[in-house]
Amino acid sequence: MNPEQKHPPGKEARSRTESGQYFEAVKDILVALANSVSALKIYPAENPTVKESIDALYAKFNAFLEEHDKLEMEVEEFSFICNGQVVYTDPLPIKSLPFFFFKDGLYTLYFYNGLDRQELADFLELIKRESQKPSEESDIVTALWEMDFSNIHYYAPDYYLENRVIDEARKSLGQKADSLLPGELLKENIEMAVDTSQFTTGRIDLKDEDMIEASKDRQPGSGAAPEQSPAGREKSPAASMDPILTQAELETVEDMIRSNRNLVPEEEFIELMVELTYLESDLQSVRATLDAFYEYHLEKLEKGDFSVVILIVKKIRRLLDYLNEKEPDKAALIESFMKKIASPRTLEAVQKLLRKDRNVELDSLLAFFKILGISALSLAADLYESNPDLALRARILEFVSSETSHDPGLLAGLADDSRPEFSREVVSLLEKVPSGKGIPHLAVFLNFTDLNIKIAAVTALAKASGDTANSILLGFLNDKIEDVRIQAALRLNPVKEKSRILKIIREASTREFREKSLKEKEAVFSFIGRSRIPEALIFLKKQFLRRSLFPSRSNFELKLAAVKGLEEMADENALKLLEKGTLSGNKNTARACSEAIIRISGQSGQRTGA
Amino acid sequence: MNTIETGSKETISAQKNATELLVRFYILTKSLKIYEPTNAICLEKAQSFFGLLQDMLTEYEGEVAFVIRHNSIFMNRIRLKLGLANYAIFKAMLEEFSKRSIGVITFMTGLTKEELLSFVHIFAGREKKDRKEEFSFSRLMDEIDQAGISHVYLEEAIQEEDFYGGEKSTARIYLLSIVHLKESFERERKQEPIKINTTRRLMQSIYNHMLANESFLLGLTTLKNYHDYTLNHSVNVCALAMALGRRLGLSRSELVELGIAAFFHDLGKIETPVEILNKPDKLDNEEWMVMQKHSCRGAEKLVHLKEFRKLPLRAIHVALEHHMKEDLSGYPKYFARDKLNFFSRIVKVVDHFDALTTERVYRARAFTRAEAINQMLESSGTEFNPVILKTFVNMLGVFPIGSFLSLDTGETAIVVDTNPELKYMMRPRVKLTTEANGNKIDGSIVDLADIDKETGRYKRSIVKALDPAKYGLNVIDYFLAMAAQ
Repeated sequence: MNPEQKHPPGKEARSRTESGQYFEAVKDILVALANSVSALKIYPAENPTVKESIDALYAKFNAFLEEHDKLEMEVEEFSFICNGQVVYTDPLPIKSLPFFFFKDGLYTLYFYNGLDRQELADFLELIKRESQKPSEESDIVTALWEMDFSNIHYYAPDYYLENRVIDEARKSLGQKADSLLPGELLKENIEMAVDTSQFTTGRIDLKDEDMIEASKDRQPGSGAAPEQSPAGREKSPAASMDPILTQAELETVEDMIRSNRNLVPEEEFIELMVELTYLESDLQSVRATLDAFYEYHLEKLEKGDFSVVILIVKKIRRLLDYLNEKEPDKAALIESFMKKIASPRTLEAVQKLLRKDRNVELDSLLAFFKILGISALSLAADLYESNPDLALRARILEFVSSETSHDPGLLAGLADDSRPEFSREVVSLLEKVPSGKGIPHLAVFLNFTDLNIKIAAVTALAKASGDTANSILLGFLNDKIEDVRIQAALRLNPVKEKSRILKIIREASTREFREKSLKEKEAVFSFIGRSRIPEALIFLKKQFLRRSLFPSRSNFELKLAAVKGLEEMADENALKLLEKGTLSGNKNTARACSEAIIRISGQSGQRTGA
Repeated sequence: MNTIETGSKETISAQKNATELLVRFYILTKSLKIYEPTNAICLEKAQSFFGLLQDMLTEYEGEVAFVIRHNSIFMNRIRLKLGLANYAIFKAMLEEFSKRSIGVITFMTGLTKEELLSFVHIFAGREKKDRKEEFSFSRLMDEIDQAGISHVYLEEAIQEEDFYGGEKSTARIYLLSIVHLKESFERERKQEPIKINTTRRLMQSIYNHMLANESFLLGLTTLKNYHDYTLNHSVNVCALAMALGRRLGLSRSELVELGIAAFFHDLGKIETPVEILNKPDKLDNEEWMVMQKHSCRGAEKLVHLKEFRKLPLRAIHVALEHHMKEDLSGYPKYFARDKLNFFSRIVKVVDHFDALTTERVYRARAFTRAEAINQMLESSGTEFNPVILKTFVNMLGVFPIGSFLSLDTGETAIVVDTNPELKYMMRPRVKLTTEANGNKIDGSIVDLADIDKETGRYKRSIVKALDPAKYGLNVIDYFLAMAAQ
């Protein structure tokens, strides 16, 4: 390796005399180049400042190259050298253009006549792009090579790459590296150690079998190649092959190249991952592959590439269907993978995306949910809860509704205290399930803590009527929240099982019940009254006629509540009691009874049409 | 011209015309190498060339120039793109320009057909006896002046702009590729990041060397089992694949991708037990199953790499598919996919070729390169894509670079280059290794297409491809010796 060989082989640093004007022009160009790069780093390419800067730079380049055909510069660590003279210096590594090239082993730059503005602009854009990458990612030589400019060339000597390979090998292989490296490469002046004396020492005498064939065909200076020799000798397949490619063959190659270029990378990758999953028998390796697949899926999700994610699900599902019976252990791993796709981490990614980009394709997102099916329900519910967008919410409800139409239990299972707004919608959706099949599932709300959701559930149950609804409503009678208990009691219909009513009567007889509010007392007594069983009348009568030595608020409330109960009962016995009550010494009681009687009359008038 | 067209309509049209012009230049040159200028064929070809040139002189304001720079040919400012259909012509013309040290040929308005014919006749250089003199730039200029040609201008090539021309440099990069691959395998074993950026730079360097020195690079693939079969083999496959891909018309970035894919195609063999890899006898079923796993494992390893995002996707294809046959038999057997990737097909061909021509413990001897080619041609269509295989054969030659031959003169020789003209596929350029009497020599490189001017016949012809191992000949030494010069 000759680190001094910064110039292309056979070329010395030129020291021919150029005019002062020449160097001034070069300096001018390089300053303009640096300025353009700086401008481009700050502003986008369309910015007028940038455009003007590039125009000016191009004009300088064009004028110079028209006259001189070529601009050639050596690149030192912090300087550009032209014909032996320093024409530009910038010692600050962070912004130095020479350093930017030098660090990647680019030691000479050439610009040729023919350079057009677009090429120059692309060159500047390339510098900008590479300079913005992290240092371990950036490589201007690689980038230039890939761009393959027609009129911009460079020299990056191989020894830079050689040093890099050797250094990296030594770091990784340690002592083994030197034993692997050919001794030649470790020396500064390399000589390929081939013993050339072997080429001139000794003889090669053809073996018999080769001699026989050789002598058959030996016709010195005959001009005939063995392939053309006497009939009867078979041509080898290679010799028989017509080397000229037919039009059809050329088109086949073109098709293959075109097809290769048109591959959709995501689709290809997904298919390959599915194949790897299929082919691998070691479960640990399968797991690792699926983990990598999952990370890939998340990446795509974070970019809003739902179509890719949908494709993943479709393709892997097909494999899962196939493997379910044949390879259950592997199938289980794939099932886990599918579950992961509908996991909280996926939701986080979706939420992050929605926060970042309000223009997410709802159709794609919902299609993603759809493809996941019921495993996406929880995800969808959480998304509903966390995103106030009305359109999104409407679509999510649509999705949830359709996925759970066959199983309202699934829908009910999505309701949760942590999703109050969604849960309220679940109540609504359960109500709408045909044939009342959703009603039994409203029981899930018995364990909720949110008042409004419970009220909604109670309301829905009341609307539904029927024994099941009633049964659930009974459960709400013991709710921790008073309002819920009251609403349940008010809406409860008479139940068939007497024992239940008796139980309520017993509970209403307790001391604890007396401490409840008037409203609750009234609600419960109303229900008792509505039951119209004899025990109800006995109980209500007892409460209504209750006397105590010392008047108390609770007793008074019990009386008033009993009025409500008797009003609901509204039979002859109840009416008699109420009439008696109108004569009560307590004005409030008397008024309540009067009003109750009026209401009862009004209702019966309505019934009879009077 | 059949190249994959990209770019605007104007660009594509300009490319087409420029390439067509070069093709007609080539055809006329070829004709004039064989026939006199007054021959009807030459006159017809001259008219064809002249006609198009006139149109282009009008279009380009009176000046049409072929510029040769960094192994590319430009017509005015248009760089002509290489493709499968025009590869041989490009290569031939580059050689013609290079032989004559021509950097620029400019045609000007005012050029007549006769002047053009006269110029190309001089350019073709049919009648010269002294070949060295024939091709000197100054001699060319003298002849042009003497012929009174005033509407064609030549500029000499600037010799120093040949960055990657050294065989030594090519050999170094080649050997370092083996080192780098070894390091990559070690890093993979230790779960350390692989230096993909370095790999990419290496591929680019290999490409650059391929442009400058394709034959030499192909000759280096006769190096076998250097330190480790898999490592050496992978680098051979990489070089062969890139050369073949270039021939097929892949772009630069595609070639780097192909190179990387080929480089890592046998990564899965890290896990294959050495006892199985080196077993001298036939593998039993279980061992064969383990062996087959390496393609799947290799693909998995690539996917599991931290730097996976930087790898070309097709590297996975190639790792997985390089043992699948064109008819989808072979291994592994896909679940759902029903086609092979284009890169896999390329690597399949070169991988098989290199494997056949390498000594392995389970085989009595390696096949010679010519034998390998012929054996592979017998499976064309079933195992190998026929067009890719045909292009591969064209690239290496019927007697591939690195073949050891006996000649009808009694001499032996090693093939060092193919003949750019397909009609001379059976007549490569060879380095003489023995005299007629069998004495070994460090001989010159001769062209088997050379004709003895007195007899009108070929000076030398191939009798047979020989097995160099039979004669204790290390073909690679001849190539490495070139690098040492």
